[in-house]
Amino acid sequence: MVKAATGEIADEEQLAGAEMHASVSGLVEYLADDDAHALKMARDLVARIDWNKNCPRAEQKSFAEPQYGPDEIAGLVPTDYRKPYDVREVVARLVDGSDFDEFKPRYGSTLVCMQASIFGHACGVVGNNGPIDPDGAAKGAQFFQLCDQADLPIVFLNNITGYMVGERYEQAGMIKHGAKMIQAVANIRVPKLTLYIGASFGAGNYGMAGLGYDPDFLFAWPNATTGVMGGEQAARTMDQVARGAAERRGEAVDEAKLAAQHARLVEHFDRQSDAFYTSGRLLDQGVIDPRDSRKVLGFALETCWEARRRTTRPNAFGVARM
Amino acid sequence: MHAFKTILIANRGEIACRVIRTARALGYATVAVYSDADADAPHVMLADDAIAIGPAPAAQSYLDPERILDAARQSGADAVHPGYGFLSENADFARACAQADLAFIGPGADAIELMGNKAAAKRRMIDAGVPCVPGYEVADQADGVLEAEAAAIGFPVMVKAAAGGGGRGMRLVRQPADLMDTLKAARSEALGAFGSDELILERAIERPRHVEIQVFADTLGNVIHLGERDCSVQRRHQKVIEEAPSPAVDADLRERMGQAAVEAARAIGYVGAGTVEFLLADGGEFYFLEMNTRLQVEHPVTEMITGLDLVALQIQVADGLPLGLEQSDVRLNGHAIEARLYAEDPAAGFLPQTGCVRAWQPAQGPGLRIDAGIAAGQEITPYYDPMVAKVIGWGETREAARHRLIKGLQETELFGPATNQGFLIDILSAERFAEGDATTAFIKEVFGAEPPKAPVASFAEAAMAAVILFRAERDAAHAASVAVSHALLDWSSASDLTSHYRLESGNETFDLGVRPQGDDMYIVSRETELIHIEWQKLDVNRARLRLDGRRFEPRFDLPASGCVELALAGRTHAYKNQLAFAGGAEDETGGGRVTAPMHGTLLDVLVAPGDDVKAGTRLAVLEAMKMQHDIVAAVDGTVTAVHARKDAQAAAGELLLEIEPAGG
Repeated sequence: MVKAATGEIADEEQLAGAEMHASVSGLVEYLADDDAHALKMARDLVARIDWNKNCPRAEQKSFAEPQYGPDEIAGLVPTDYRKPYDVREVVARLVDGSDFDEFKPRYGSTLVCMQASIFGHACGVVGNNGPIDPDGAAKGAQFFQLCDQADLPIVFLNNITGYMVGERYEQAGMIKHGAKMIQAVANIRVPKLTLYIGASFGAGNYGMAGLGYDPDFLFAWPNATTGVMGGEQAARTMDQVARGAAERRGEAVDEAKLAAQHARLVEHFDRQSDAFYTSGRLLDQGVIDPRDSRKVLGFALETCWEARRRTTRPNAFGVARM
Repeated sequence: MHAFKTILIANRGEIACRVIRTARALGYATVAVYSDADADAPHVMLADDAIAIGPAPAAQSYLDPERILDAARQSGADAVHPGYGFLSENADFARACAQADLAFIGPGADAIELMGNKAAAKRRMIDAGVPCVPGYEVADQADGVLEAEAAAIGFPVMVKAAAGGGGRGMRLVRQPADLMDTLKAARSEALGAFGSDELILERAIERPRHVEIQVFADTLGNVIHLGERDCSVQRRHQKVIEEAPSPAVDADLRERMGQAAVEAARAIGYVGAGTVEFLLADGGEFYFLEMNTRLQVEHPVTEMITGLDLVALQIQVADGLPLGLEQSDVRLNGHAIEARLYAEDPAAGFLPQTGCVRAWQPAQGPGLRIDAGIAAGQEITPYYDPMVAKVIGWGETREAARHRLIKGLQETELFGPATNQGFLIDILSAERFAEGDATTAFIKEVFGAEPPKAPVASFAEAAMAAVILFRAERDAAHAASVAVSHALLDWSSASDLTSHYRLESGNETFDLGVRPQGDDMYIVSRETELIHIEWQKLDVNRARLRLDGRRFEPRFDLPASGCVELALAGRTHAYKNQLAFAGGAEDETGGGRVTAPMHGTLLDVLVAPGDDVKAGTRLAVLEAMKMQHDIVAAVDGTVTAVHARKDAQAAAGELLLEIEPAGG
C-alpha cells in the first residue's frame, strides 16, 4: 500500500513492527515476547490498577437456590406466544428459594407484580399473564414507583402482546392508565433488567421496559419475538385495510393478490421480530439460554449494584499534544 | 532433694525439644540456648527460659563452651544436658561444667576423652577382652610400620583417622599397591579435619551390619544394657534408618553382645547413657567399633521397645540416684523403626536444602512417634545438620512397625525445602529391607551409586496440580472482586471456557486445558486425553479430588504465583506454570553490541580489545546534560572491538564496543 501511494519501498518491521513502535514511534506501551507474555502483562497491569480501592464490597449473601430446577424452564413457555401459561412458573425457577410475594394479586391480575430476590439481591419482578388492562396498568405504575422509592431493581419478564383494545377498555381509560405506567417506567431511577421470554409487541414493549426505555440490561430467549405487532396480526389488519379500500372503490377483491400480500407481510414481520434478527442488530445485549436466566439476571443485578457504587474519574484537562 | 533443679539444654532442633519435654515433665526448669538463626525455633519456645548465645555459625554459638557457660550463669542453671553432636563429646566442656559447679548430664570427662580417641579406645577394649577388628592402632606412624601392619592384618584394609568419627576420614584399601597413596591422602585429610594426622588400620569387614548396644550405668556401679539397635542402612556412613531389635540378632547373640558392651562400659568406669557400636559380620562374629558417650539420635527406637525414657534415666543418674533397674527388668516389646527426615534433595545428589518451612504437619496415629524440631514458618538455615525430624514406627512385629512407619511418612506433610521423604519410603518399601537383610552396603547395592532420579510426574498428577492452581487463581480473583456471587463461579453464558496451563515438573512439560463444568467439576485435557476431576477443599492445603471417580487426597502448597507443590503419599512434585512466567527471556540490551544510550561525551573508556568482562562490568563513562552514565556489560564475554574513544562525542545509538558473549 505504501509503495502504491508514495512509491516508497518500506521494510515491514521498520514501517510498522512492534519493536519500532515500542522504541521509535512510542505507540506501543508494553512489548510482549508472545501471546502468553502479553496475557501475563495484561493481567499484571490490571491487577496493579487496584480498581476496587474506592468501591465498597458487597457482603457475600447466602441464599437458597430455587426449589424448581432451571432445566425445566425450557419447557415452560410455549413457543407460540398465543398459548397461555402462568409466568409465576418461570419466576419460581428464577428467584431465590422459589419464594416471592405478589403485589395486589386480585387486581389487574394479568400484570403480575412480585417482590423476590436473586442471588440475595432484593428486586421487583414483573411478568405478564395476558394483555395489560387498565387496572393492571395502574397497578404497574404504582408498583414501579414503590420499587423506585425502596431502591429495588426491577426485572421485566416480557411476554406481552400489548395493552387491551376495545370499547370497554378505552372507556375505562386504557390510555391514561397505560400512559401512567409508561411514564413510571421511563422515570424510575432503579436498575431495569429486561428479559424477553416470549412476545413483546407495541406499547406493551414500552410499558415492560423495552429497548427505548433504557433498561440497564436487555436479554432475549431464542423464542422471543419483538415488534409493533405479530406478523399474523399485521397481515390481518392490512387485509382489512385492503378490503375496505376495495369496497369504497366498488371493486372486487383480488383474493390471490391479497393472499400473496398476507403471506409476504407475515413473513416480513415474523422475520424481523425474530430474536436473532433483533439481537443481530444490537437491539438487546444478547440471546441467552433460558436455563441460564437466573445466572444472567443475578450477574446483571450484581453488576448494577457495583456500577452504582463505583465512581469513575473522567479527566477534563484536555488532550495532551502527542 | 535433687542435686540440681534447672537444666540448660546446650543444643537445638529436635533433640533440644525432646530433652526439654522430659525435663519439664519431671518438674525441672529448662533453659534453651539459641543462635541468631534460631531466635524463633521451637526449642526456644518450648523452654522456660531462653538465652541468646551468639551468631548463626555453630563455632560461635552452640560449639563455644564459654558462651554456654555464660548462658548457664545468666539463667541460674545448675545442670547441662548436651544432647548429641555439638559439645556432647567434648571432654574439656564436661570438665569446665564441673568446675563451674554445673552437673553435666553425661559420662565423666575421662570416659569421653578416652572414647574420643579411636586408637586409645580400641587398645583399652582389647585389654578388657572386648572383641575388636584386627588392626593396628599404635602411635608409631612410620610408613614402613603401617605397611607391614597392613599386610599382617590382611587386605582389604580400612584406613581411619584416629581422632575421626561419623564416617569422616575413612578410606578403603583393596590392594597393597594402593596403600601408600591412601595413607598420604588420609593423613592430610585427618590433619585438616581433626587436627591430628594419626591413623589407624583395621581389617575391612565388607557388607557388615552396624549393630550397637545401648548401655546405661549409674554412679553406684550398676551397668545394664537395653538391647541393640541395627543402624545398617547408611548413606556414605551416615545413618538413615535405624531399628530395634536387629533382624540379625537372636537372644543368644544379644546376650553376648550386650555382655561385651556392659564389659566395655565397666572397663572405663562409664556413667550414664552410652552406645557401644559393633560391626556384625555375616557369620555372627562382632567387633567393637567405637563407643558414643552420649544420647544417640536413634535412641527413640530403644525407648519404644523398652518403654523407658532414656533422658529421664540420664537425669536420674546425673542426680546420683541408682538406675533402679536390673538387667532382668529390661524386656523388649515389639519392634521399632526410625527414619531420619533430612532437608536434602536426593535428586540433587542429596544436597542439603535451605529455606522456609511453609507447612509442617506430622502424621499422627497409634504406634507412631515423631520427634521434630521444626515449625511452619521456620527457616532451615545452612548452619546446622539438615535433619529436621525423626519418624518412628512401632509394632508388635517388624512388619507392623515397617508399615506404620511408611504410612507415617506418607501422611507427614512438609512443604518448603526438598526432603528425603520419598527416598525413605523407597528404602522402607525395598524388598531386601522388608526381609531384614539390609547391610551397610544396602543403599549402594539397591539404589546404586547415582543419586535417585526425581520421580516422574504423571498426567493425572499434573491434572490435579492444574485444578489446584485454577481454583487458587479463581478464588484469589473472586476475593478481589466487589460483588460476584459464588453461584457465578465456573460459569460462562457462552460455551465452556478453557484455561490453559503449561506445567513444568522436572524434565516433563504438560500442556493442559482446564474446563469448568459447574458444581466443582472440571475436565482437564491433554491432547486427546481427558480426566474428569471433582474438587472438594478439605483445609488450607489439602483437597479431596475424584479423578474419573477415583478419590485422591493430595496435600498442596502454593509457594508463589503460578507455582504449586503437590504431595501424594509422601512424595512431592513441584509444578510451575510456564505461562505465568512468560517473557523476559530475551536480553533487551541485545547482548554483545554496546551502544550509547544518548548523545554525550565519553569521559572514559575502561576496556580494551581482548579484555574479559562480566555482566555488570563498567565499560565506559558517558557524560550528558552534566550527568555521568556508566555503560556496563550486559553479558559475560570478551571485548572484541572498541570503537569509542575517550573524550569523543557519541551519538545516541552509536556502536561503542562489541563483546563476544562467553560460551556463545
